[in-house]
Amino acid sequence: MSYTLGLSFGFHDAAAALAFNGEIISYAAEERFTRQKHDRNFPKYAIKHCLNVAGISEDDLDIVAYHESPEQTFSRVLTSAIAGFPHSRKEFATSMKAWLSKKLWTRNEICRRLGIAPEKLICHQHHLSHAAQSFLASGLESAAILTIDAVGEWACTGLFDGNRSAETPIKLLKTFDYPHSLGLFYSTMTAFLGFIPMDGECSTMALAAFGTPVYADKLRQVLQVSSDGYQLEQSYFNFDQYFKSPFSAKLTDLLGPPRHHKDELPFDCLAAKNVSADIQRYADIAASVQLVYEEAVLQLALQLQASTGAKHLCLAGGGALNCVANKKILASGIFQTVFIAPDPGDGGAAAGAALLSSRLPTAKKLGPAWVPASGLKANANDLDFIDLIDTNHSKRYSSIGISQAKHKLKKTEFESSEELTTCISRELLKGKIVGWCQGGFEGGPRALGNRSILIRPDRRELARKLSARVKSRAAYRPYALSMTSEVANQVLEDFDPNIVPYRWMQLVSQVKNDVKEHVCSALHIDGTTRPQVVFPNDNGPYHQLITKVGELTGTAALLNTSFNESGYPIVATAVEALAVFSRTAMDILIVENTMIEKIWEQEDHAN
Amino acid sequence: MLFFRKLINSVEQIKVYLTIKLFWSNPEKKARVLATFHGTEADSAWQLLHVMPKLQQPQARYEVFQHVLEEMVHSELFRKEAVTYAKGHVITPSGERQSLYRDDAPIWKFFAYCVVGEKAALDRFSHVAKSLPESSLRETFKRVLRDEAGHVHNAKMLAEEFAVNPADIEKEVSAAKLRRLKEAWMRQGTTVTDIFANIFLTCLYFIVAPLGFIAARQKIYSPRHTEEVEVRIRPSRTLEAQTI
Repeated sequence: MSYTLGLSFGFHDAAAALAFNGEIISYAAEERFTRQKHDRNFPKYAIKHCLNVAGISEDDLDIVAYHESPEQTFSRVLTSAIAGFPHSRKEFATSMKAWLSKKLWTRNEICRRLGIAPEKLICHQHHLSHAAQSFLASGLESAAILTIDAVGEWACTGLFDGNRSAETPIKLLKTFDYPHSLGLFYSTMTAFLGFIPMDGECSTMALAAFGTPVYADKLRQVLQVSSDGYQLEQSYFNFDQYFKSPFSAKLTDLLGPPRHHKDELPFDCLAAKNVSADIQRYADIAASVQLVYEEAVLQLALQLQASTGAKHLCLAGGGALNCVANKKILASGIFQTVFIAPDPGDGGAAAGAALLSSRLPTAKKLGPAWVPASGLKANANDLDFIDLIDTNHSKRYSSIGISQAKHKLKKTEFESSEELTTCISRELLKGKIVGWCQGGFEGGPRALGNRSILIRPDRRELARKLSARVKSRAAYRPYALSMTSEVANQVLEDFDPNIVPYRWMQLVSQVKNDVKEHVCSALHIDGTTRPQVVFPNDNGPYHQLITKVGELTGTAALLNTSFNESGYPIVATAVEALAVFSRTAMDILIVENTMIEKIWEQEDHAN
Repeated sequence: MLFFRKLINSVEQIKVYLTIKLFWSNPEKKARVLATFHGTEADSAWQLLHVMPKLQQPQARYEVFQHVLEEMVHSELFRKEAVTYAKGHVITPSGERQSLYRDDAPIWKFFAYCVVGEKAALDRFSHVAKSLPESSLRETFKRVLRDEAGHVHNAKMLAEEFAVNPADIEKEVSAAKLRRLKEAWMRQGTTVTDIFANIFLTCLYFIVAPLGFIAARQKIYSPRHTEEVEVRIRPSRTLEAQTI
């Protein structure tokens, strides 16, 4: 028996993962327990959960693996702060305070808080942890590995050769070091477009679909791609004076003024709209950023394939959350298959670190060594107070800007999942917005049918209502589409069951023309969707529900979005789900086999 | 005793008034304080969610759930106000979540602490509301105040319901007040230390950085050599091929 605990914390997306004999048996992000999005603190609750799943204590851990080397990261932070002299005083003081008081002593902190001997702790290289989280979890015998991130210790991008049979299963080929970072480039452009860097990158990606890459030539001066890879022209950035701005005046001269975060972006992914030239410029910049980013990533993929001769590619790092670029790599045919772990970002690096220190698992044909939903289970018994809720007061608890008409709550318990899914499929067909909580929560940032909000996908107005009255979500951001594996070929242009990331919403895909109207509310403006192909073994109840919907509508598909409010992480417990349900215009909440329904008493709100 | 209470209250009122007059005229500073309130209310909601599994009685769970919803609303109201005044994005303080009591501590102690915490919030927000001119922000504080009074009452009821000996509640309330005083003292201490650390690090910066910045820039910004990059298998300066 060999238990390895992997940890990732300190920057963003703290997480813990427990590996047993080379397989991840439990993984959880700290934010789900603390309700602080991208929580970066020591993942004590995630650790507790992982140990509870295995029924062990800290004393039973053989190894604790941390995702990066704190000392090397410190050397980069210090060097960067000094390099900005004489303009980086604030950056120096702030980072040194954080590092000298806490972060530099991360090894001590882990040992102290877990009560383990220092010999049990291993600190891996950050990009090696990323490489492992993808390759060792993929079940592949050999693969090329590409890790794209903002920055690890010094490395920002890593090229690796993975071979389980080799003496060195993960062999480093090349890195692109700080400040030449694709992740920092994308994040800086995200800041330029008025979104929060390290959080709003998905908004940049969504906005790109509305634009034409007319700024691509200009941005190629910023991100210079060549046969050797890429490099960033540093005069456009202020990485060592980030308090001022991550980009320099030269970038503003090149692209025009940056967007203020309060400026409206009136794009709608459900309907083409004419916008002013000023607003269109932002979409064009986003499209150009996406294009040059893809060019760089494709160049790296080419280089990697030439170096390794591999048929398969494993992608990891925050860059692997760019599902448009991921798809470009797959569609380019450079590699036959692409694998991405359920959480390719820094949280998932905890799983990578755990796998690196765990016994090397044997290769499998398919079936990744990673349980995608091993989080805390939702328990319907926690909602035993539901009958006491006075719905006359519900209006004052509603989220700001979300009004709710008078309603009562009705609780129904079902004998079986068959009964439940039959009933819910009918309710979905009536246009109800359903909150769906089943089993443990998902490991990564995507809701995969364990903590999801669902609607039927063929009603644009319903999607607009979902955006405005439940999710408080900008209209230019598209929703994802869940479908059963049985119909994926009928819905998607290029579905291949051997491409595992289709299961976890890691790739975009074109939807077939004859199906588009049936799934119109989950399409982006360019006719693509971010599909989740649900196999019966992946998530039984969810597969059953979508199948039932298919029996009624002819298309076994549902619009699926994460069960959370804007600015908060996805819900973990039944009570948190009930809180979101109470505060928004959702109609039905499902927790296990229990249904809680709002019975609207006013006509104008009834669907 | 009453005299001292009134005196402390007056001092607090003057302190809040001066803070608002002197610092809140700067919208950025105002936004930062409001973001802190947003974070504090979100933390209160989390603390209550965290103790809910310990409660067996549906009625008590219901009371706490209502409290959670109200704290969520307050948090959101403060966030909205912070967004109004902030020039940039609102950054919520995101320190490590610490449950107020150990998981095996009796639940009534938690509610006794809530009585103190909610009363303190009630007093503080009341002073702020009185010091603000008529505005949407003032309305927000008034709205929050209406709920906070109910929170103090509910927390007291729940503490009394679960405590074996009601006299213990008073003791715990006193202990909680002391604890909060100590926490406030520590916060002040941290602020002062922070100022000294900033001064020290600034001095250090102007001593060390002039000596090292050229080398640092060379390390970071030196141009890449094509020959070096073209090598197919090249150990990086930071990563070395590792055997698992």
